[in-house]
Amino acid sequence: MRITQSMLTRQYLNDVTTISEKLAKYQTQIASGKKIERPSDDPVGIPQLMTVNTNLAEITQHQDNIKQALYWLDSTSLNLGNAEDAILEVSSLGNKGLSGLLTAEERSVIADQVDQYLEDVLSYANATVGGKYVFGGTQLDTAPFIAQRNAAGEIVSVSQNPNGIDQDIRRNIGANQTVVVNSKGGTVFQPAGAGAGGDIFEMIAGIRDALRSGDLAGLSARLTDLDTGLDQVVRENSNVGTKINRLNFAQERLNLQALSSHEQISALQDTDYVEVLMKYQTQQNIFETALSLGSRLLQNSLVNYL
Amino acid sequence: GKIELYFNEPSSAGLNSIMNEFWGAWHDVSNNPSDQTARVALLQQADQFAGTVQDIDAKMNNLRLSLDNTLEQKVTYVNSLATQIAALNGQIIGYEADGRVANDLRDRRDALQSELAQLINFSVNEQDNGSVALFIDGEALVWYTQANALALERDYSDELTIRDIRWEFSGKPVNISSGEIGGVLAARDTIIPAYIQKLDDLAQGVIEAVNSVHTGGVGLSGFTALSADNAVSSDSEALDGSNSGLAFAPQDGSFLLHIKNSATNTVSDATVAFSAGDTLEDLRDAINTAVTAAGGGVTASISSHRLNLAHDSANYTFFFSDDNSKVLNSLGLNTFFSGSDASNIAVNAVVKNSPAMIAAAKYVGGTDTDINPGDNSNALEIISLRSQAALADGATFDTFYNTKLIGALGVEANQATRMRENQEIIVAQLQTRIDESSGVSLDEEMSNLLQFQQAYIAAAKYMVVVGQALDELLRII
Repeated sequence: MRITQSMLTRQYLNDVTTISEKLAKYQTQIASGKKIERPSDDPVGIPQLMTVNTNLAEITQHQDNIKQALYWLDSTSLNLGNAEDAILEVSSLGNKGLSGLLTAEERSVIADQVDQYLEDVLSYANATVGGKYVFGGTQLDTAPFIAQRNAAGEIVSVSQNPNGIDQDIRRNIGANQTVVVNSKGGTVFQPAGAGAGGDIFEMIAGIRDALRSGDLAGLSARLTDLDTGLDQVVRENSNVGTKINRLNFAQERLNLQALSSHEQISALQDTDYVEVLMKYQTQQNIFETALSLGSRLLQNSLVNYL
Repeated sequence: GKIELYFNEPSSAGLNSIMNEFWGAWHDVSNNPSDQTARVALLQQADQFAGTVQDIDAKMNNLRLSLDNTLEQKVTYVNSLATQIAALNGQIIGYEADGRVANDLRDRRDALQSELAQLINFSVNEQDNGSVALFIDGEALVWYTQANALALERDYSDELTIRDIRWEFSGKPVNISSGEIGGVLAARDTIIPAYIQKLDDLAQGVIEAVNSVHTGGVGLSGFTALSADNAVSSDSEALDGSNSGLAFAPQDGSFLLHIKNSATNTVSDATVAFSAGDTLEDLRDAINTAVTAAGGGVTASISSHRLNLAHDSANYTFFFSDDNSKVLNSLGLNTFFSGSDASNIAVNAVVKNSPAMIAAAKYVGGTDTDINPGDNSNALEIISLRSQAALADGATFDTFYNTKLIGALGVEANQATRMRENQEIIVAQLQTRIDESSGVSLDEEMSNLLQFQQAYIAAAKYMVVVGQALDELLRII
């Protein structure tokens, strides 16, 4: 086959261009730290990479949601615990008042203490966190329980603000997974409505009134009722505790998933520095060799030797 | 290449990340429905999403327009080359009529043909008289000394875009299948429109899905007045017909219009039904009738082909729920996005101006006579849209974008690069074969030169010897 000068030059240029292209590509990979600069670099890997990115964003969002949910649940649990304690105190005070040895004067003192605890329970039921009412359902800005007071300023009965108090507050903690994060004030403190059986406020008010009036039989009956009331609160509190556990567990799981997503992204996208540096070095050697050989060969021809 | 740059994936400025942030903002609103900051942030993210989609759409359309310019230049060049080849044909015929071979002229003609081959596809036929005839798909581009020009057919109604390339003399379209002109035509008419269409599909899907859920929800308070976002072409045209001028059509069904009277703290419910064939006027009347039956408080009217709802006095506010007729969606009442495709997707001005109107909540009725600020059920429903198969082939928004758009883009771009590389190798090899026969090898020529030089010297010496011999002979005579 005849070899002409133009063939040699053309071949040389083509080869040098190819090597330069590769050098440029490796250089970009090293400088940016990413294997994939644009979709055509890895058409199969790109959709995977974007999907994993999306998944990671969702996981982070769910983690955030869970944090907020836990915040709400913790506040609920705290207030339920306080209410429990108050009710227990009332119970023990009431039992003290049952003793036949007390005078009306002493019973009146106990009644005052009970009244104080009643106010406390009302304030726990109307507790707020961050300006929002914990037991108000979706009606966050209005107090869920309204007290009706007598002339002396003491609570006679408590009614509910009906708007939203029975609604669930849900948080999204996973793909199509929502969890109810609130405890409905109505269910906890007045499950059958104001004034009916299970109305804790009514029970405590009744105990106070019985102590004042000296109605020991009524007091005893009311104290039994109060135990049921205490059960309501305790049950709800343990519900909340279970939810908190469940969310903590979900949080752990999400942490692991996030970690694995990061690994996947790294595998798909990050440059393997060792590999690329080696390739870059090799290409550079080839480049220099080609350049020097080319310049020497192309200049030579028979003309030089005549 | 260019389209890849417009989409800018994978990067934090690409649509993938922006969509992630958009959905994330909905999560934030669902966590704090009464929080103004979360709502404002959502509006910003939605704006960025809509803006980016519009931007990519505009860039691709601009690319199409710029390809028109390229097309014009190349066609002019083709015509000029054809004319030159025709002229050379004439010269070659004249020169070779005497039996000589017009090497220089033929070389020039070959060079011109090479250039032409880069631009357009044609077949070559060498005639007996030395001229060369070029045909594009059977029609003659160059015949003897005549060159048939290519003309551009323009569409004056659409920004002077070029519609087609035709033969000037006959008006028939030119069948161009390869070459640079073929490539530009393919990009302009097939490739770019396909991606514009996919982006449109994505935008339409998002608009329709989000709006459908949003119209059934309620913001932090009811409306005092609301105008429809979309106008119809005529008030007496059927809303679900093809002449209505609406991008999305409603269907048989009904929606609930709730009117809250803050003076009496009651909410009345009006059911408004929509049947196929109803016009805007029919709808207005249906609303007014239903409202009056429910106790009044809101009046519907039409102005400049848009439906308006307004409260009768300061006590009344109104809101919607349970729309299975999609009327609210198609007219643009209580929607989140306005627009119908990638070129005009935007955030509805009503929501933009008052973030409190973002419908994160749903009206639950019953004992609730108020809208509950902690209710996030509508926001949660919008979030769940992300995992639903809302687009063709059961794809979710993300799958559609990742696989059908960006994935396909990557494959096509990759394929184009590979094919170009392959073609370059083939061209290089063919070039080598040409050079093999026609190129000049310095070594070969130099050795020939040495040979002839020696022969010349030898001949010269021979001449000297013959001259000396003749001299001797003449001296003797």
